[in-house]
Amino acid sequence: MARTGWDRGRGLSRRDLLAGGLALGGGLALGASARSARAQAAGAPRHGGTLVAAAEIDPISLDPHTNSNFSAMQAFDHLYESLTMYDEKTNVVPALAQSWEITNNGKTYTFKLRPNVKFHNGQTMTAEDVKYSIERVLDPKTASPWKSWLDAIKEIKVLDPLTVQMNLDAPYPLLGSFAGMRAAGIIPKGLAERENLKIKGIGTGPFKLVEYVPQDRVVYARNPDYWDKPLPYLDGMVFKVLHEENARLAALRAGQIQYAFLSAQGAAQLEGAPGIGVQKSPFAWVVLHYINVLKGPLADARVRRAMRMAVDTNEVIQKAAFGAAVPSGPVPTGYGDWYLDPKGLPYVKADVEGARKLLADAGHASGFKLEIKCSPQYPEFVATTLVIQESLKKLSIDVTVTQMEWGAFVAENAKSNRSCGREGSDVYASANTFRPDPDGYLYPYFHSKGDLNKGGCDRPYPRVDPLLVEARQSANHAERRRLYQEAQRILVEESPNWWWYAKFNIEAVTGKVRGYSQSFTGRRLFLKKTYLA
Amino acid sequence: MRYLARRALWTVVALLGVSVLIFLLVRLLPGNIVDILAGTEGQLSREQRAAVLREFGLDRSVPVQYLLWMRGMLRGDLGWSFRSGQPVAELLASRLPITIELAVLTVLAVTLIGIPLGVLASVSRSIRVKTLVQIVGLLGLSLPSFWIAVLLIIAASHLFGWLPALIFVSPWSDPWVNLQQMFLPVLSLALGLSVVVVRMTRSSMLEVLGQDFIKVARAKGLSARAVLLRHALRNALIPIVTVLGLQMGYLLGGVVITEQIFGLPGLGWTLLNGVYQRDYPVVQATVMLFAVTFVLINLAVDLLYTYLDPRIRYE
Amino acid sequence: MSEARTAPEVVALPGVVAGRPARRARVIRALGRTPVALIGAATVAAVILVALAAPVLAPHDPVAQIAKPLLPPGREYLAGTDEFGRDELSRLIYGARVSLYVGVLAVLFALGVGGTTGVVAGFRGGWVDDTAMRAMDMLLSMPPLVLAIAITAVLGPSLTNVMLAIGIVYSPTFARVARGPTLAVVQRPYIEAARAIGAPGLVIVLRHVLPNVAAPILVQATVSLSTAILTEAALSFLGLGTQPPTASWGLMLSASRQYMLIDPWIAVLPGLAIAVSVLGFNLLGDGLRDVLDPQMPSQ
Repeated sequence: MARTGWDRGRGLSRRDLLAGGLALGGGLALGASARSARAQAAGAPRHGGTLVAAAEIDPISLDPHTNSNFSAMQAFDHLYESLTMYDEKTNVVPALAQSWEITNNGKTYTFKLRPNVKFHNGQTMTAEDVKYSIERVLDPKTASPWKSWLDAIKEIKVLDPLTVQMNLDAPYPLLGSFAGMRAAGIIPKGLAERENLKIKGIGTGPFKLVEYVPQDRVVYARNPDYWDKPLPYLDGMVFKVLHEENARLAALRAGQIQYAFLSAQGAAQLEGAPGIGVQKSPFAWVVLHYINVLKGPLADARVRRAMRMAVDTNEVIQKAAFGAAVPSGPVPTGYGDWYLDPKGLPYVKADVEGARKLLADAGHASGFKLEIKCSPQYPEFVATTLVIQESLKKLSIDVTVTQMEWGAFVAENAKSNRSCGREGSDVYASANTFRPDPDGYLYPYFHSKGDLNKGGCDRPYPRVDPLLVEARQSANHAERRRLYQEAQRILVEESPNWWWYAKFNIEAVTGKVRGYSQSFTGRRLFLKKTYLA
Repeated sequence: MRYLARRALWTVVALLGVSVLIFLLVRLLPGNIVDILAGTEGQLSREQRAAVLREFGLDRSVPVQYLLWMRGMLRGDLGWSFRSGQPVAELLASRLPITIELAVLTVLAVTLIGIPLGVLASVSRSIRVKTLVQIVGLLGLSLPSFWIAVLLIIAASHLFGWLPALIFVSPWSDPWVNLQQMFLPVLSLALGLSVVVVRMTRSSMLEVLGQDFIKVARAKGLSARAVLLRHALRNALIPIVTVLGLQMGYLLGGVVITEQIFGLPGLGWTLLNGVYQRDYPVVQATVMLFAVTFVLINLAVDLLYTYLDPRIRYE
Repeated sequence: MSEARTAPEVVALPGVVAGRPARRARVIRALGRTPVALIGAATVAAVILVALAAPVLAPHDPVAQIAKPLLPPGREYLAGTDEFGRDELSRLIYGARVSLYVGVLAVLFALGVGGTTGVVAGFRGGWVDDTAMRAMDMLLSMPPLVLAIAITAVLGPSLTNVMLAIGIVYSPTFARVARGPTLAVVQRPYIEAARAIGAPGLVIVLRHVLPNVAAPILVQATVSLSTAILTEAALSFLGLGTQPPTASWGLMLSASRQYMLIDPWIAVLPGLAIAVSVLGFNLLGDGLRDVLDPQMPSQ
């Protein structure tokens, strides 16, 4: 469930953040929801105005199907839509599809499309466009990094201009929430062949693309034909790329921008600034370390567990996220009811003695050398790694932290996967972003046939496999929940990854901005409901 | 004249050398566009990877790629960015004016700050003034320019509650806003660079002032100011101009971090991003552009050397 | 680099100083009389001392996370603690090591490679000169910071590779600085005469060229040293310089950007350290230049 906190004008004091982080997940921000409701009751939405915002990173490309970077999605989110979308509570609600049926034991999805939805160029959306868009993702020539998410779809049939049918060869829960698919935007048939979608875009979304100047700005204008009337309220938006957080903070203070994404430190620096409200809530950003479970001592689950035990999760949260995070398991804390209760998570508090004993049991009482790789592209991951390095000294484990330039990091990560962990390093610092279903956090990585079974290379976690398969096939929420909880508990014990925390999404809006809510997905989905007072 | 012809030939060789150097260097960087596209959460199958490589012409052998690129360059076709699909020529053309403006304004600022201070430091009788100018001047040189930039931003917004409009406006459409946008970046760069000019002006003036023709001018009864400005400074200007030229060259090379901090879409940041994104065509073309600039400036400076010191002859 | 400060530091007036013992003594005495040079020398000496004596001076392990983060200066931690709870004072002290290490080694490399190239080019002239200088031009054509980043990315992240990268980038400057005086000396009548008699090139270089090249090279070295410290800071800003948790002023400065209003101490102190060191080297270089150049050539 997405929760929003609205702290008008007060910003966040450091104590708030530390308290927020140290207070374990459970009692999160219930008060904040009430506050938010009250705040938003004041004033009715009105049309008009342009929102000037700062993006913290360049989208790089606006093509909805070929990008793996999250910033691209955040940028094209306003242009394209999919069959379904998320509401403020991260529930799947109809979007371009008005209704859908799942039949044939979960192997056939039939979507009934919304009539009279117009693309930005005036064309009406039909089932042909849906078929074209999804087939584009599935086409190997498109080289979509998310093809594997849609691979379950074996056939797409246009039953009539407003009905699309997809046939799978096995049940696949992620398809139920098309909204969360990274490459699910619907584009007009044939568009990719006519236009350079990296810098141009035609979709059905609430905003049209006016221009995208790479590394500089994205400019949007209101889509007057948007199907979900009366949205959007804004006449337009401008997102300027500003890497330097101090520049974003300065721009907020000076009133040059009305929205910015901030780090916890940034929000703390903003404390006391008049007219700026900071929203924060956990979101699907699970900071973790991928472990190459084929290398030396790392092959022993006891060793991995012992290392995890030696590190205090709250210390990691304080130093890496400046307190603005909650401990998390494999499924991010705050996601529906799928996640493991942080209060019940093992290893939140460090247990060095226990760790030493476990390590000795595994035969490594004298420690060993370990290399952890990270990239300065995400200073947060470097910080978590440094805390780990320091903590592992207590186990006589000598950690070398290697910071790699992003391209080099990604390349080596890929090489490690391709070579089944033979080439490449011991541990990699990274994070998981939003997946539309808990299956997405678990199956690809830990099922023996998963596509992203990194370092394990189809190495089975025998107790987990049947749970994941059963959860895929079940339609009963309570049953699935039970299965995923059990799977997560086993995985936390096995520790093929170290999972640390789910970060808070911290966004600042200035006084005039109303109606903005955060999304657990971390995407700026509700700018379409935002208006200027 | 034979010298010039040889220089011209060598210039072409140098440029070819740069082209090979950058072509290879960028391909030595670990990872390529395929890895960047996949990222850490996505995944590309072997078939998909091959498709990407084919699309960008990376499936051919390196020498063939080089020849194709060279052929394109000679025809004026700089290729297409891997990341945005834009023609590189278009991309560079949109970024170049910003870099040029930043360079020109900075050199202007440096001249206006540096030369007067340097002259002052050279003629002042007071040891205190001289030492003070030196030390205060050097403080500007001693702080990393990114640090100065961040401090300026924080000072501007905290102390003055001001920051210019973020979306870059060209000087042709709105010179006043443009000047505001350039103010902080230029200041952060000029503070460090002007110090060099102060020192160069001072030492050059000192040398010129010690020469005989100055004594003659004074003996002729010219006013101190006339001596100073018309005779001394004019002769002292040559090395100063050399330094300014070099600074211009380096500024035109794109001041990467300054651009990043202030969000100015200039050439330096374009180049660095190209490196990060393994966008070969962008990196290659930008570096070639810089190379041409540098080679031309170096040629000018070397010729200035012969003008400066007739004892140096090139055969 | 810290952007465009590399090449403009070139000494544009190739002073010619013949090296003789008596003259050297006079130089040192003159140096002693210049307040600027003295301040510079003293500062440099202090920095070197701190760097050498770091293990003794530093109260704590610079990479150990031993205390609460972001403590202000206090009795136990004189300069407070940083965002990881490491002792700021110890990190500042050890930071001197990294800065000097990077600076000295990078400059030595540039001096060795670049300086030799310049002398050889100036001495041999002709096509050797052309080739060498065009090669240097090629290096100069790439913006120095980007070149350093590319080299570091190719070679891999380590302090040694950072120094190598900076050294490579600085080499053309030293080549230029060395070439000027070499050319001037080489065209002296007595040198031409010496060559005519058949005196070996190496002897001529050592006896006549090097003393004339020494002064501008020395000045350039102090200047480049100061710039190298700034370059390391710039590379660390981009995360491609010093590897954490090693304490380097550049890295500390870069990391402190996020905390500038929360804990100004960790933002100001490394900046001050850099400023003082760079200032020291520059003042020293200034003083040297005042004393050594301009000088009239002596027979």
